[in-house]
Amino acid sequence: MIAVEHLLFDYPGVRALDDVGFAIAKGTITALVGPNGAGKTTLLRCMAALDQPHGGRIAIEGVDIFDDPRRAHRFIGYLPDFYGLYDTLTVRQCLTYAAGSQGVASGAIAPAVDRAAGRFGIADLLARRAGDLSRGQRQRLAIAQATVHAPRLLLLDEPAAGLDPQARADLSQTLLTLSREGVTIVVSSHILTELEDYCTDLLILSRGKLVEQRRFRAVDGRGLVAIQLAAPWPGLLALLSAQPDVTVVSHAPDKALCRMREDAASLAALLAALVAAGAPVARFGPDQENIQELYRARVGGAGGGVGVGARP
Amino acid sequence: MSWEFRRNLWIQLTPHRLIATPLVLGLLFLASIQASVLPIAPETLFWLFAGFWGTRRAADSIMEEVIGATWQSQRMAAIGAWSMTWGKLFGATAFAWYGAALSWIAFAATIALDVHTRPWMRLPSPGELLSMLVFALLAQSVSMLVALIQMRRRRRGRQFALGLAQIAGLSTFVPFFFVTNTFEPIRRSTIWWYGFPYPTQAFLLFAATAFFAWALLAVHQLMRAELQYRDATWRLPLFALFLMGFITGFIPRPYLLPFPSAVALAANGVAMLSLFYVTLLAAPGEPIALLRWARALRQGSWRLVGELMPPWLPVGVITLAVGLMALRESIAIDLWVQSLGPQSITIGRHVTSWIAALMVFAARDALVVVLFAVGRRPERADINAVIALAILHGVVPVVLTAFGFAAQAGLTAPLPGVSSPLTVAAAALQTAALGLALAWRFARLRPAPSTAG
Repeated sequence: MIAVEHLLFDYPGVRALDDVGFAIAKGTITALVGPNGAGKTTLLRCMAALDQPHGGRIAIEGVDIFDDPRRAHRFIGYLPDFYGLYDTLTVRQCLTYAAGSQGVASGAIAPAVDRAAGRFGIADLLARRAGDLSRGQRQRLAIAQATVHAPRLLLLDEPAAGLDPQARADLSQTLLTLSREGVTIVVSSHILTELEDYCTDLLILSRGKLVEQRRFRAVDGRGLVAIQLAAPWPGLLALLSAQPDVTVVSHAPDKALCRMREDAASLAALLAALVAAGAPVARFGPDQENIQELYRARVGGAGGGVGVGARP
Repeated sequence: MSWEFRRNLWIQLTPHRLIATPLVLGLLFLASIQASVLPIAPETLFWLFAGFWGTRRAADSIMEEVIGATWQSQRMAAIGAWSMTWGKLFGATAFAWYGAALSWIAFAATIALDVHTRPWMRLPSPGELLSMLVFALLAQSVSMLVALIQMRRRRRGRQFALGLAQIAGLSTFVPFFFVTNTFEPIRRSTIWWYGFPYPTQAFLLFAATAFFAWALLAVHQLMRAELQYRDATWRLPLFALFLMGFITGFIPRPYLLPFPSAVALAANGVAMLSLFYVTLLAAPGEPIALLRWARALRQGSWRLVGELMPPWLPVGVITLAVGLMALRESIAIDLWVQSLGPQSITIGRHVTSWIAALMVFAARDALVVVLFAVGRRPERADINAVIALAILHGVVPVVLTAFGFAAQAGLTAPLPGVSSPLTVAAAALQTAALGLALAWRFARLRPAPSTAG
């Protein structure tokens, strides 16, 4: 979906992006994290074809975005960290303009507006002026504007800033829904714990360099689940193998690692099966690396080191 | 309909405004009828709405997007450059045009009712009406152009930028008043252009139309750059050539033999030099773009060279060509003056040296501006450069003259009368020194790999 190669971007006297390269698969949600000044916003602006880098290449679905940035804009949605709204327009007018200006066909604009408003919970605000909205409502309107033309790539710079906990949870769910619909999403954020809830991939930038690229979970929602028993139990492998949609990755008499869907219902069903069979379950849950720990390891020390440790 | 135009109409022509404006204007005219006096001339009302408010709105159509942080979304929109240009130009000024039209309707009603008449009270002729429309469009488009230029320079002060854009726009509106009945003798006069007489009103209308078209082309060019179209700069050099052709038409050739092109060269030289300095100061202060351009030049990437070329460079080349022609003409005149007698030689040499000094000092000034553009505060490069140039061209010569060094007053500026080969050499030395400083600065601009971000 996205191929970034040898990206260089300079500000006077400062190299903001230094030989950055990575690939992002279709339908993934990638967390872009790094300390302030690491180059996250610059990278997102380059990926949005708003700034042309000093060197390197970005191809989205095979289109070199710097050769034809206007074509690339047709399938990119971008929410900058500092965004603006037309305060004197109503929410419906804002969304209608966003759809029309992004090239949505006249007949498809009204349904697109309703769909975006419904998706981000602002359907009851369509008649309100944008200037009268609360901060959280403005944020939701801004994200709705960025997605109203159904982009295939969505770039969000700090989208959760200003949202209350419920709105953040709603945003997470919406991003997961968009991802399931095939939208590729890159999210820059400082709220690492929430990124863990919905991201499939992680990019860590430090001092303009990519210091980590890692996959956390499969795009189809299947992830690794770790089972730790209090004591060895001989029926563990047989029971796991008999479960539908569960693949045993590794096992020992007192523990196992499976690949399976990570939704609550699937987890609950497996746990219930284990307990019902008499397995002495001590720990059970997704085997996921902690973004915060990884971030601290890569960035928290003396700059986090240089070099890409990609592990797809 | 352009989505940008539609959005501007939503903002500008609210039901509130559509109803309130005719009510207020109607009351104003009713009061004036009651008092048997019309307090304001129709041209002034038109100027207030279409001119003053229209230029402000045209400039603000750009500035408010930047201040309101909506410009990045617009840059990513599917709206084309033309659509964005006219959508903003006509959409953002829609209320100004609405007010102007209502004023004229009220004025026409006053005359039709024959409530009270004055000698100056008459409806405009179609020619006058057309002139007003075109001059207002010219003023608005120039205002928008200057706002765009400042936006590309990342100027932050909105009021300063708006004021500058509005002053530039309104200055183009001034000639319009010469074709109103306030200046009846001028309106009825004749302008000679390329040896043919034209009625002043018709000629000004023609000129305003042509310059409006150029202003619109310039806005469109900058809009294309902002909307990420990849273009080479070609309209500015074409405008320079048009400007020379326009100016040359005013030169009364038959009276200037044996050097018929001298005055035309002088006039065009001044015009090109002015255009060169304007483009020099108006160019976006983007040091990295200059670095990229220099790299593209070294690598022979000609498409990128064309796209990133500083706009003042082609104008500078044309200015240089005109300057060299003027220099050749000056030497010819110098030789002719020498043939008249030894007492005239000094005058001729001064002119030749002055032209040479003008060219070399222009090159020095270009380096001064570029040096500021690649400095620590590129967004203030134009202001800092203007201050530096004012010191070099004004303060230093005045101080030197005041302290009795009048002969050396031309060491930092091309002053007529005191320019000599020594002045040219001084200018060349300064240019070389600035060139070295620029090379040093460029070297510092290139960051070492893996520097802190």
